[in-house]
Amino acid sequence: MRGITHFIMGITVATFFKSLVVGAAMYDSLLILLGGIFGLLPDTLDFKFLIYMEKHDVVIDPDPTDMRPQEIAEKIASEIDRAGTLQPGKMTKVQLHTLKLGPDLWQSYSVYFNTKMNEVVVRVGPHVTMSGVPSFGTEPPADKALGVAKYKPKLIDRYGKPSEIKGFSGPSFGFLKRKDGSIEVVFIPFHRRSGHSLTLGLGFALIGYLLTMNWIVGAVIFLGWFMHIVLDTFGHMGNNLFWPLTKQRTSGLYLLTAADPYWNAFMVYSCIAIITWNLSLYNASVSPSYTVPWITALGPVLYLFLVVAIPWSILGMAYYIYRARTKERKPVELFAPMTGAVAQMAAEGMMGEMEEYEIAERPKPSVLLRILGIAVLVAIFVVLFIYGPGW
Amino acid sequence: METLVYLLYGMLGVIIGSLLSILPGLHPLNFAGIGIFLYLAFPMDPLGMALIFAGMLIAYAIVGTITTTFMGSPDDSTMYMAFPNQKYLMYGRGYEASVATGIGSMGSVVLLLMLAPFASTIFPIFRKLLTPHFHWVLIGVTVYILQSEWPKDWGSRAKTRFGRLKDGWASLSAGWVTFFLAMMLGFIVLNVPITPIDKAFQNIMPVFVGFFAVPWVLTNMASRVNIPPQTVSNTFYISKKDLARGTTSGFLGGMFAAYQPIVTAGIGGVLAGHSTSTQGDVQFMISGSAGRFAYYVGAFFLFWVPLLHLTRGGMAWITGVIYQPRTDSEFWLLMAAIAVAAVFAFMLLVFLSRVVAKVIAGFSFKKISIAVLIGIILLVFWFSGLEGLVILTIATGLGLVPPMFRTRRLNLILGFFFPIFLNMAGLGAGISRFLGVY
Repeated sequence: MRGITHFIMGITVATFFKSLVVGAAMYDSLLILLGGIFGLLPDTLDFKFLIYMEKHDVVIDPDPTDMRPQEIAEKIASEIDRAGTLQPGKMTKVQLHTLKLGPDLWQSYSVYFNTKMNEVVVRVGPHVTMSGVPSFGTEPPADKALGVAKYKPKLIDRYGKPSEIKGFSGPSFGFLKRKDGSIEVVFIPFHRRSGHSLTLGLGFALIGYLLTMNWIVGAVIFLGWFMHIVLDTFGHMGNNLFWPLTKQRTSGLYLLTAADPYWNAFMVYSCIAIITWNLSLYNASVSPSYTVPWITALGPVLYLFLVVAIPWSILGMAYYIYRARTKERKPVELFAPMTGAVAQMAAEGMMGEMEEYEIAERPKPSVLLRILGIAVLVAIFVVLFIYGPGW
Repeated sequence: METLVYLLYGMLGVIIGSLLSILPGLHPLNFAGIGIFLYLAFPMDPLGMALIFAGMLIAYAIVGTITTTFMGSPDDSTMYMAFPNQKYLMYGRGYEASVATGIGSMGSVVLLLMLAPFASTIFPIFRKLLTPHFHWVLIGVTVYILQSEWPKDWGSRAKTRFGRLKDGWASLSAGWVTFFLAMMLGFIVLNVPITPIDKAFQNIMPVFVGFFAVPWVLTNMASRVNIPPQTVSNTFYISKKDLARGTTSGFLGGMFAAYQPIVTAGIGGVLAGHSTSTQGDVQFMISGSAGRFAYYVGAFFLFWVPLLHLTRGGMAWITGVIYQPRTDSEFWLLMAAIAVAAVFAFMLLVFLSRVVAKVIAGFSFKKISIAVLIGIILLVFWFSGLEGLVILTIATGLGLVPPMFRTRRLNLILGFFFPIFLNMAGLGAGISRFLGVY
């Protein structure tokens, strides 16, 4: 999920603690913010520290004035082959660099693992802005546009789509040797490992408790962290929950897409609704003029049904219908159309087999596991609603 | 007939506001000062004057984007869309960018009208609940903005882990330093009267201009480019998705900023943009202008909402001196005035953008920037005296740090207002005493 979703979710769980809300209102306490800070901390650790600790076996840093897609494809394919010779559980890592040409101008290129054909496909695109708007006339000549290289091992690519390299830092790929001899593509291998483990969250909570000797501080730190892990697990990429005891990250529950605007907006809205409920409930202990009695009188179930479930069901239905109706429609833009390297691969039919691949290979978690994931989230909130007023 | 006259007052405000909006560097705080000057010079019906103020704000929110698009002198609320707008100017599509921002504002007008019937129910709830909690909400916003800034190393090529860490943290550290220095400036400017006493209400104008407009103008001067010929088309298409997402996100951010004291449109825009995953230049332009409209006009709107009458923003404060809205009918008169004035302002924006787009082609950006810079310096001197120019110079120095180190410009404004957040949390006075600025 987006950073703000994690941050506000952490704040939300903190507002269940009556002593924190009353303390904030009466004594200007700032402890509620611990929930938000630790709610966002896993991504802070990953993208501000752990990203720089990653060791790469191969670094691909092409010359933007002389793009050689065939060389790039061969380097990646050779790393996949090398991963095939490693012991199970070992990984090779490849870093792909972005190519900055100006304040907001990048040389775009994309990498696609065509697992049906055992090929790495590299496509060079035009110069684009960060948001993908191309500069016309910068498309590469035909002999420097495409590179295809074969690899030998069976490759499992859970993402299943081309990755476009065009802005910020480029992605890294890990090629993990599995017990069955196949190679798994691990996207940004540094992410969601130690920085997203429950063990580290417990460690921070313990430190918080020992520094303050207040169990509520520890609980808020852990809950903020824990909710981050739970929300991330709902997506496609899982977490390494018990690092350092476990070494690899698990698969996500595939319930939603992390960057989906609908789910992020829904989460942020729901959090605001819950914070509103908590403030109304606990502000009553501070002063009657700071509370809204009719909100509290509704009770949490009816309140959430009226304020969250009904409006978001309507919005969700409208969103679903819109998505269904516009699925086959090509986007029409006010300005230049999006034609970066990935869009060109799609236009040239290079991704034609992607859907078939996704159905065949993508490891969907069992329905039971998915229900369990949602049950954990619901259970946390039920516990907080019941016991929060006593804390 | 009387209603029609009042609506005309709103349109008169649009004309006055449009004339002032073309002057780069002016802020609604200056508008409020000019408004008071107008009222003292031409005493008139207070309600009519209040509607003129509304028109001026609407013009600032809609027509005022021309300076950001064509002259490259953004303020804190237009920083959000300054990059895409100027990029399209360089693609010869400044007119389209300008109209797209106008469409975002019109989307915000529609949402504001839709919100109006429920405003007197919704906003009092938040006022009751949040009043004892403003301090942690504001500090939380600051913490989030600082914590959510990611490194901009563009893929460090350093060989060692420490080298990469150093590259990544160069922009982040600059962001923290910017925040800290802006906070120090805030402690001084907000606690010690620097500008002459008769101009004290304009004391933060040079800070804002120095943070945002002057660094942008200086950067443009250094870029030494000419503006290419501009395409002026009669029709163009914006996808429903971009329109809906951009408008909704911008409106939510702008209204949050309007309601929450101290939070500006830029901050609200970032929060709402993150919440709704705003992406792409078109969405940024629409969202930025929708947020700017919701922030300035929304704050004024809150002052008129029955059972609320919340005073937010300089224009509402000034209006409160001469006029206090009391009834539902006055609120709905304001809504009608907003609708009519916004349509009028949008038409002016389209017309003026066409004119500017045709005239500006071939101009040296450097020459335009020099003219804009001279204009800004004269305005700052006019409004805040020599002392204001000193503050302007210091703020410009700070304002140049973010573009040089690729960090967020929002850190400037958050840092500057952070002393107020600390005051709310009961911590500001001690720090002020420690620094000797009280």
